[in-house]
Amino acid sequence: MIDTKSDFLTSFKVTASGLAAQRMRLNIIAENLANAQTTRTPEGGPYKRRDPVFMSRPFQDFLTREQAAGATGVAVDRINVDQRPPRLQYDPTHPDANADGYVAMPNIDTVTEMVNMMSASRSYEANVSVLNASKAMALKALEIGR
Amino acid sequence: MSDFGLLGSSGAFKANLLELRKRRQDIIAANIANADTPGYKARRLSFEEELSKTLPRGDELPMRRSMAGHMPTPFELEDGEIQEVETAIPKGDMNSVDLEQEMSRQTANQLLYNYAVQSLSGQIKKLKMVIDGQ
Repeated sequence: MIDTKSDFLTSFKVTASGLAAQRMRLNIIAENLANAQTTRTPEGGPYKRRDPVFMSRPFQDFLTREQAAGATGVAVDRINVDQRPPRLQYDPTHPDANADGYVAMPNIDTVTEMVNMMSASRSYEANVSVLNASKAMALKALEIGR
Repeated sequence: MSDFGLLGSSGAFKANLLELRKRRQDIIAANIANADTPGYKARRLSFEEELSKTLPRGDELPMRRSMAGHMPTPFELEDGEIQEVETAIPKGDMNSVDLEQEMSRQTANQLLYNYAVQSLSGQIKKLKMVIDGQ
């Protein structure tokens, strides 16, 4: 048995959290792609791939201040730094090349990033369409008795 | 949910149904928001079966008020049940949200919500007509 009292803001808030999380993911993918050739970082060494870790988060209802059953949002729990070894590329003329002439390049696979980018953008779109549906339902409710 | 005055038990029924459909929308929104959350299990709000129990069956006569002084019998609905479901095609991250399923469920839910709103509006409109005497 669950309490059915919840306002329309619940589904808006849940969807907003989904949009924010997917945008964050997209930002991190952009960062990865921008740094695909970065061999120098403030912490030293080549850039390391980053990946957000999502976590579901329960919401409180706006009016009742009670937890809305089942309607959990999503949040970025932490940003994981990929610890896989850097890709070694032979380029003796590069200033960061080691004694053997190999340069440590970031552990980024452009194809993986592109696929992730498409996935993030599709998920974002899905959340947008949920937002529109929730809005349409809320507006429809205002038509009762008209 | 018991005192709906002129709208009676069928008004209460429709209002309760709207509430349940709105809750279903919340759950679908949560499922889609968590489509990429590792370990998240898709949730379903089921209430149709409980709902149909409150309606009179074909071989039974519906309850009627034989005297105006009798108490009306509003439809007391169950709140529905939330269940976690697995997907037919498992994903690697233990997440069981099927985006296509959720989107089509959402569309169906939205249509039925609109239907309930129109039905309730129609009832109010008829009542208005009687009050205005037109």
